Order: sequence, then C-alpha cells, then structure tokens
Amino acid sequence: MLKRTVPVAIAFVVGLWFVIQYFVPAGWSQQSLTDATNWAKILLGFAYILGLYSLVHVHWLRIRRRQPGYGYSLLVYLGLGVTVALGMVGEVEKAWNLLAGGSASFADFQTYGGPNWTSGVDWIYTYVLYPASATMFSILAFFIASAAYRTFRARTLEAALLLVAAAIVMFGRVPLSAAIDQAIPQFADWIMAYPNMAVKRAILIGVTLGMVATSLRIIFGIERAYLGGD
Amino acid sequence: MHWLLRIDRRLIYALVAIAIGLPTLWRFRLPIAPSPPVEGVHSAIEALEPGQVLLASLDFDPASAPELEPMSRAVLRHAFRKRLRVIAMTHWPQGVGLANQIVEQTVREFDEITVAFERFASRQQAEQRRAALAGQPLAEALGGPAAVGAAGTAVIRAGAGSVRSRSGAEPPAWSPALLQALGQAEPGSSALVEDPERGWYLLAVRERTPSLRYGEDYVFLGQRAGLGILIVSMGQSMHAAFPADAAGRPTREMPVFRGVETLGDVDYLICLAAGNSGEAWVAYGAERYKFPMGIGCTAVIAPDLYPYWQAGQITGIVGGVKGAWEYEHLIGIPAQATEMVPAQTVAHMVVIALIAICNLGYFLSRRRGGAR
Repeated sequence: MLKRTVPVAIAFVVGLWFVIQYFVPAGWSQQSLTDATNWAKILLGFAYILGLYSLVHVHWLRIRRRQPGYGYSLLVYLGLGVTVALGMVGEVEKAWNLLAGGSASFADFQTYGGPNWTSGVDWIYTYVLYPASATMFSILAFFIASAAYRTFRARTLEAALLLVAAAIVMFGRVPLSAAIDQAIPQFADWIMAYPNMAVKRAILIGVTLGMVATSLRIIFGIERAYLGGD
Repeated sequence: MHWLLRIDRRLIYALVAIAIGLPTLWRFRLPIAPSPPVEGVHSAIEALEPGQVLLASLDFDPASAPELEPMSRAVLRHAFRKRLRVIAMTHWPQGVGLANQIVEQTVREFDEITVAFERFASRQQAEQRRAALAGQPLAEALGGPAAVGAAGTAVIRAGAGSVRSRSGAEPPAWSPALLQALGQAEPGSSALVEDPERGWYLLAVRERTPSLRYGEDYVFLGQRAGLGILIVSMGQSMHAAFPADAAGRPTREMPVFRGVETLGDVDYLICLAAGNSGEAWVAYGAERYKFPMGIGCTAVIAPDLYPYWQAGQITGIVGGVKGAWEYEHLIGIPAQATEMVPAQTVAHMVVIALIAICNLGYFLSRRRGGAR
C-alpha cells in the first residue's frame, strides 16, 4: 500500500489541485502555489545530490571493471575533485574565520567568485571549460559539412522537396542572397513563415496534447512507471 | 560510383577551414536588411523609457557562446544606452561565469574614460610616436609640452557613444573602433584608433570612472535550479526566488528592484537561450504573468520559435550570428557578429556547394545505373 496506493493517491490529489489552482486567482490559492514551488526547489536540491551520486557511481563501476576507456572516468574524478576542492577551500576558509571570531557572515557563504581561493574555480571555468566547450561545438561545422555532403541526396520526391527547401532557406539566410535578389530571402522567409510554421504548430500541438494525456494518466493512476519497478 | 560522390572527408574539412579562415584575413562587407523578427526585439526595447526594467536571462554555456554572446552584448549595450535598469540571470549552472563576464564587461564599456591623445596624419607616424615614448607613462607623456601631433584630453563613454573634449585639439569622433579599443582598456594602457575624417589618434587612458552602479542600474542574480518552477516562483515573488544576488547581497535592499516585486512588474524580458528556456519563459512566465518578451537563440532553434512570434506571444526573435549582426546594425555598433558573418556566409556557401556536388554526382551515377 505504501509503495503503490499512497503515491498514486498523492499524485491524484496534488495533480488535480494544481489543475484547478491555475484557474483560481484567490490569495490562498496563490499561496498554495508558492508553497508548492518552495517544496519543488528543496526537492531540486536533493536531485543535485542524486545526480552527483549517479555520476560518481557510474564512473566508479567503469574504473572497477576496467572497461574500455576507463581512463576518461579517472579524468572525471580528477576534474570533479579539483573543482570541488578549489570551490570548497574558500568556503572552509570562511568557516574557519567565522569560528575564530572573524567577520564572515552567512552571506559570504553564497559568494560566487572572489579574489582568493575561489578564483581557482574561475580559472578552471575560463581556461578549461570555456575553450573545451567552444572547441567541441566548433568542430560541428566540419562534421555538418561532411554529413550534408554524404547524406543530403534527392533519393525520393520527399527528400528532393526537403533538399530544395533547405537549400533555399540556407541560401536565403546568407546575406549574399539579398545582394543577388531581394526575392531570395523573402522566399526563404515565406518558407519559414508558412510551411515550416504549419508543421511546427502541428508538432507543438501534438506534443502538448500528448503531455496533457500523459499528465491525466499519471493523475488518474493509469500511468505508474514513475513509481519504478515493473 | 561517380567520383563526385567520393570526395575525401579530409578535403571537405580543409575546404571548411579555408572558408572560415579566409574571410578573417580578407575582409569584405555584406549588404544588410534587418529582418522583421529582429526588428521586433529591437523596437520593443527601443520603446522602453529610461528607468524601466529589462530582465535578461542569459541561458547558455561556453559551447554556445560564439552564437549567443554577440547578441547578448548587443542587447545589453542597447539597454544600458537607453538607461534601462537591467536584471540579469541565468538558468544554466555552466553559464554563471560567462553571463557574469558579459554583463560586467558591457557595464565597463559605459565607464567615463579620461584619455590623453595626440593626432597624426598616418598610422606610421602614430606608431613611431608610441615607440619613441616606450618606457614612459603614456598617460602623462601624451599631450604634454613635448607633444608631436595635435594634442588634447577628452572624456569618452565608449558604450554610450559619447566623446567630450576636455582640452586641446578635437578628439576622435565616436566609432565602433573606439569602443573596441577603449571598452576594457586599463588606466595606463594605450590604443591606436583611426578617425576617417581627422586621422590617426594615439590614445592613453588616464582614468576610468564607473557610470553604471551595481545594485542601482544593474544586478546579476546568478543561477537557481528549476527552470519552470523558478519562473513560477519569480512570478510569485522575485525576492523569494532570488533572496540574494550572485555575490550573496540581499536583493530586497537594491534600488534596481524598486517597484519590481514579481515578474509582472518587469517591462521587458529578453531570453538569450541555447536550449528550451525561451519556450519555458513563454509558457510559465509571459503567458501567466503578462509581460512582453523576446527571444535570442542559436540559429538551429529559431524555426521552433516562429509559431510563438506569429501568435504574438513574443515580440521577436534574434536568431544566430546573422540575427546578432542585424541587431548590431540596428543599434549602430558593429561588433563581434559583424566580424563573424562573412566567415559564416562563406561556410554556408561551401555547404550548399557540397550538397549540389553530391546530388549532381548522385544523378550522374544513377543515369549510369550505379546509384544506391
């Protein structure tokens, strides 16, 4: 009962209430939303802990089993350890000052960055994370060009239509097209504003109806996969 | 199979590298006509009065920075130039440092910078003068009794586009080059700037005085988890969602929040996003708490946002580098995006050419009965 019935009952009551709550502008109704968002924020804090545990656990298993590429898992541990250590050292220093009767206040513990130890985190961010992320993303330009060449072929009528539309939009988005003829970017805009929009709307409405249906299934206890188990 | 279908991928990579690299060496100008979605964001911000509140949600990390950083800077320059109060934040934990840097550097562009300068007919003369003064404190030496060119001092607010002569010769007129040269320059440093009408200026920074005050003209709130939940929470109370800013200072005491209790009190929101936070802002924020908003995004996301734009849920879209370029043009400060667009244009042309080549090869080989 505790594993199934109670969670389903909670989902039913809370789910139904927040559907109704959206349409009730009274103060007590708004307060219940504020309370719920506060609970959700607390839960999110635990989700971070869960995420950290999951990351550490997955990579620990890879290292223990000596799976191919387990060296990268060691790098994950190294990066995590160094970043957390550099971030924590400043906080420990502040805590020590506080205990020793220094001037640190609670607000100091929320400080991002700073001139002392925490600048190590800034250094990692600026000189490791930033260039590494930008490099990974920049490489996409090469892969996209290669993939477009190898796969973008007019094998069927549908593929040909997609190809022509994509070429027009791509060229219409390039400033050079306007220099050749103003009609090219205008036609590209027309493709975006009508055929693209119609399809996007259909997908958006379909996805949203699917979300409504899934939410109702959860509220009424039909969908129970979120409870785990079989 | 036709040879047109067998181009080595390394050759394609080399072509892309050349396409991106060449325009950075050989610069050329491209015609510009701002598109309606970009104009939608610009005109909404342009319509705001000084002192009104712009909430900027910079939701991206370093991976997307090349696309989103130029438009973020352009929008913030526009906002600060209009003396709007700016509340900046991010939904992305990896974006905190980047967002903070963008805000602080843009704010710095609005400092009052006192410069000493000398004017020369050519770049060569200006460089010779700089070389002659090597080892001396340029800020004192320039414009002194031993000045070589026409000399003077001026107060420049590069971000705001203002140049005020303080003494001596006519200072350089404001230009994007002046902003680039002085935007982040430290006192004591020097720069060479060309004024097409007056000549070359050798400038030395004497002092910088901040003109935008943290907590009064702008604030950076940092990041909180939750996306939709956070937006709803901000709609209930901004101070409950962000009791402290990124540096831990209580937000309730900040003048920048004067009259801003909930999201409904925000005059305009611009979401600069690499992910789906723009859609979340529409669904959980703008629709529920009724405030106008616009979205800046990577080019790949822009088509997804057209339905929101056409429905009037957002005033406009700034999509990718091209959108940022158009925005820079609209505010009259060509910057990063303006430099990036030629490279992107050539790279796009290469991709289109590759698609054409592969399809030509495909049809030729099909005619011979060898296509797959």
